[in-house]
Amino acid sequence: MSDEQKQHRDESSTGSQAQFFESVLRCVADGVFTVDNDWKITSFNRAAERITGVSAERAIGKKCCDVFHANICEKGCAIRQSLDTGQEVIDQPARILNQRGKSIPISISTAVLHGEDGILLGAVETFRDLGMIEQLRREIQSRYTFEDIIGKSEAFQKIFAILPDIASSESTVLIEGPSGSGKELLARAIHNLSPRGKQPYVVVNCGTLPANLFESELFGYMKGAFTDAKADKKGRIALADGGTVFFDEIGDLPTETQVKLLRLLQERQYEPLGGVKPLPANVRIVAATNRDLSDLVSRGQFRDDLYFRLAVVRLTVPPLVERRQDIPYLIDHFIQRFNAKRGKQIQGVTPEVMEILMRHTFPGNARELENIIEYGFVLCHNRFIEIRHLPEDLKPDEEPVTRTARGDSVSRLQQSEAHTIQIALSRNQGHQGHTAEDLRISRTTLWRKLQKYDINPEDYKVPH
Amino acid sequence: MKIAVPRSGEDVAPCVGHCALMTIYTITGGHISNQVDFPLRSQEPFDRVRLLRDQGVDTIICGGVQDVLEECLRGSGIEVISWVMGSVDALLELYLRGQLVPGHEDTSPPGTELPSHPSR
Repeated sequence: MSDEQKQHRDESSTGSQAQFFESVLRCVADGVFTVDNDWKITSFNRAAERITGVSAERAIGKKCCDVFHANICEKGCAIRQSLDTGQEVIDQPARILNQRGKSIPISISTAVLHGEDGILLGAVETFRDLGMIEQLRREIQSRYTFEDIIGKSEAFQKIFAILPDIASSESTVLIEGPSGSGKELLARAIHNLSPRGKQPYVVVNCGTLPANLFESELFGYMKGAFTDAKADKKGRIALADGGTVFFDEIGDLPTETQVKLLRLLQERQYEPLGGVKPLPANVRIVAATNRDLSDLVSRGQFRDDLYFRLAVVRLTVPPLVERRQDIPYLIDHFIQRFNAKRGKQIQGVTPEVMEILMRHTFPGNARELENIIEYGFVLCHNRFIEIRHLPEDLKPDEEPVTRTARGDSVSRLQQSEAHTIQIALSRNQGHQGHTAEDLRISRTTLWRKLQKYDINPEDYKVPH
Repeated sequence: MKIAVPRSGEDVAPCVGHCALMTIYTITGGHISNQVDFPLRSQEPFDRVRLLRDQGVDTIICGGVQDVLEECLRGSGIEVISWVMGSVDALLELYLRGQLVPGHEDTSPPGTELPSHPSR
């Protein structure tokens, strides 16, 4: 074999090896990428694209920290550790931000890359998405955080504005809103965000607790307090010691028990049944109601002094129909949750389903939407929840039957959004800040939509 | 007015929620008249919101940001120009010219003259 033939064989062998490894990396479920010695990405596999939401085309050439936005980028970079020591890093936990601003837990392994001649080429990192595992853990432990509060609407902006202060304070909080609007989720998030977050969170459902049991359930009793009291029993206040007690449906609290709760709030002490001395109540109180408490006060059905004690901080969660812009975010949130719980890989809903859900009035609020998505999960075995996977009462009378009709429907919805943005841009002479304000969306959302519809705001600027 | 920039060396930090240093610039007459560094020890996102609000920050120029943290910042009346990357000096200069938009990527090497329009 001539030298030329050997060289050709070696080149084609190297080429086919590269193709082979590329094919392998494409099929791997874990994210894999390589960087050069300047931390610039040189390859980025398909799973890495899926987990980060960044295409290989956009990622390659960028510094890895500008793609991953990880908590370890500034201090504790695993690649740096490998490059510094020459050792592999195995299963280091980290959190990255995807392109939608969602924090994703991952597990990282890194190693250095050397060329055949021993020259350092850079490093390789593999990372595993632990999002589903974390989601399941949170479901089981109910460890909801502020990330679980899904709301981009103006009403939620007001809540977000004061949430940092509410979380750090000890004040009693009253959450008002219709059934299914997410009041308990908010209460849990307030608890978890507060300095009491690691202490117990105890729920008292005022609507289901009989008036005659209220005192013993809440404050507990001592042995011998009554005939069947054969041993001391801790009440919910004692069980929540150091933590938070959440009084759900506080508007249903019978009048005769309201005074007992008032005393607890006023004196921060309670006396178990049969007890001889009051005990300190080291709990934070969060209450929620779907009724108009001020109206109940004016009708004499709720004590005004208790109302004012409870409403130190008032949060109002509006019905879902009044914050329709939150619907797509909630759908996405529920899909992620059910994917984790059911082990499915559903990616979303079709544009037709989105259109139906955006028009629906949701008398059952976010809980109804959650039920609709859960119903869809039972029937859907594809990547997207379609009209046929919706409950009967949501299906339109005449379901679109042709692909063309569906296609037109998609483009109409999107065209309508793009058109609205274009009108707003012209109204604001291409100024993105004013346009975002006009459309009541954030500048980041506007920027994403401009990219999605390939609209250039420069085209709407008036030449000077 | 005041502008906050989470920094990592000379560049904007990759993630607001985990950055170790926040620099707050005071702008007077279209120029930087003062700057103060705030080392951040707490990893609690709300502490960052409180710091910016207490310092009277009007705008934050930052890299990656958790969506809920972004909502909190907006809810507190702070303008958020997020998902930008590159040199802090270059980004600030663009901002002062009114040309900085979310998602801007400054990839120019140090010393390069800034373009008249940001690339998208």
